[in-house]
Amino acid sequence: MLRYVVKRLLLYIPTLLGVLAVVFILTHVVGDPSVLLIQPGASREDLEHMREILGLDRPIWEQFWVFLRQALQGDFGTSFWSDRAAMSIVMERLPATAELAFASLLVALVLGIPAAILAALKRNSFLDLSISTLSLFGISMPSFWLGLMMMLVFGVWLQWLPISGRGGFDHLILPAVTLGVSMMAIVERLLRTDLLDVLSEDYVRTAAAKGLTTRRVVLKHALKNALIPTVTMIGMQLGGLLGGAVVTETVFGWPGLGRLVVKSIADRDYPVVHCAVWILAVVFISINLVVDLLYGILDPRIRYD
Amino acid sequence: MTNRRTRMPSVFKSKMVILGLVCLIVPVVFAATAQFIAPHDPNAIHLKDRLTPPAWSRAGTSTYLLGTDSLGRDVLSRMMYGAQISLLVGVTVVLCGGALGILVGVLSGYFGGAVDSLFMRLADVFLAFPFLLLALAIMAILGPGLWKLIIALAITSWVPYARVARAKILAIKQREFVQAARAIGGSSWHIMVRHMLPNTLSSLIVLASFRVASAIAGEAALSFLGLGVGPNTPSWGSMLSEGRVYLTMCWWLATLPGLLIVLSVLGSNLIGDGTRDVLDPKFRHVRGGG
Repeated sequence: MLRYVVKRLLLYIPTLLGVLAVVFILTHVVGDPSVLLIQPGASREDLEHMREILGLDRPIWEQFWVFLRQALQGDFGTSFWSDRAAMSIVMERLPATAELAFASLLVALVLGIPAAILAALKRNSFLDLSISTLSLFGISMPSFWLGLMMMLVFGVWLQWLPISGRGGFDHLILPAVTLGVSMMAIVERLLRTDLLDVLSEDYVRTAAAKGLTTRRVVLKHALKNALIPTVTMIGMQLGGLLGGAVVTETVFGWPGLGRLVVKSIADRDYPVVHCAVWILAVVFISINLVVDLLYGILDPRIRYD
Repeated sequence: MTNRRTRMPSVFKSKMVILGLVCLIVPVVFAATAQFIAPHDPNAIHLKDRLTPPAWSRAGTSTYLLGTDSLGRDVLSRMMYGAQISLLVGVTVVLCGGALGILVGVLSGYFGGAVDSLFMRLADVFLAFPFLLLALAIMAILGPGLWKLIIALAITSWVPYARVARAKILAIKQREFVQAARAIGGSSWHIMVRHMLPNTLSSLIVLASFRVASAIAGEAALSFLGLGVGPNTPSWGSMLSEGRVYLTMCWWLATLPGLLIVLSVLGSNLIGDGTRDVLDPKFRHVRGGG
């Protein structure tokens, strides 16, 4: 087990370096931040001076080397706009995104798993059809549109919930549901299919023949095995969730990493963009490692060597 | 080969594919005929008639069936022209991203070794970014524009095709028909294109139909964030973004273009579901994006 973890961690090093290289290439070709930072009408010398301060006058490979060395120490430089360390700006936003992502994952699982169980048990019934149709809509609705519609209905018309910002629990509901709906639909569709497969397996029939209640057969025997592909899928979809957070946070004015990225790209604030994208990628890769390791707990047949 | 050909038409017997095609009727008709049936120029500004509600509300007028936006531009006409952008992006991104991914996947699977390692590490790097985030970063460099948007979405979408194509190639690499082709002196290129590629197509077609949905949703999301096709091109995503500002007063601005996005994405997903059931029943873990 330990060897496996170490092996996986070693495999992530080239990926992480690749991510840093891509981030550097992407953001260092974006315009010239020195132009944005000096007063309009400033002289050419001022511009050169600003480029010198920012280190933008050095050869690109040298900039990359400096960037790489510092990035690996968590130092992404100072924001071009606020004189604060990029890392501290990003870290300040991380809890809000984590809160939103966690809440939407919770929404997805709490609604998605029971829906899948119901649909699988009542296969081909009206209930199954309704759940499947809703799921298909859930997958097909872009989160920003769903978010706007929920704002319109629950915020503007019914005035039940706040439509913007971060605060108490009531602020979290609309963004979390918006972001969670597509994941919920994915969980439901996948789990339903796998449950149907598992429910026709011999060991499930044996369990039922022993006289166990349906609840026990499903929860204790079938669900555990059917959940394995779902866990994989959730790991893969978390990237989508983090990407979706960019849009959802913009819609709801949620002060998280996603909104920071959109704003920093517009401001061409390289250090903050570098840092935020790096942190998001690291989080995503780490989640996938955890998912890999979770298999072992769910399915002891998987060996770690 | 023969097997694949005989199975193709049965796709159109699938209820889901039919339903998907029905969903796509409105967007496709809009896209195909916008130049002829759009009641107004999509960019014509009528400041006097700004924020007119749809025709069925009390303050609405039949001149603007679905109302007007903050500059008095006709919402229906903009939705019709927006359909051209969405469908063009959806199809082109899949063609470009698919071609790139299939090329990488086939080369990777066929040659193995260093080529395979290099391409698959590259795929890992691309997968380490949330899809939308990478597309956003690329658009930030390129700036808004239709072809730039297509490039950004295609670059970020090749990995799934590469993975599927590679897996399929690996599965058939040792089969007799490939060895026979090699034995009679077929070149690598000939074997890849004539013998192996056709055998990977059914899975790739299924994947592609889901990815049309992702591409349409991706375009809308980027346009919504202001990094899409650019200000003067009507796009559903940018219409939503403008409508968001007037959400409290003018519900139609954000609601109606969104319905078309849902319809198009739903249609593509249904077609994906249906084709998968017919062409590749075991390949059920592929999902489209929303």
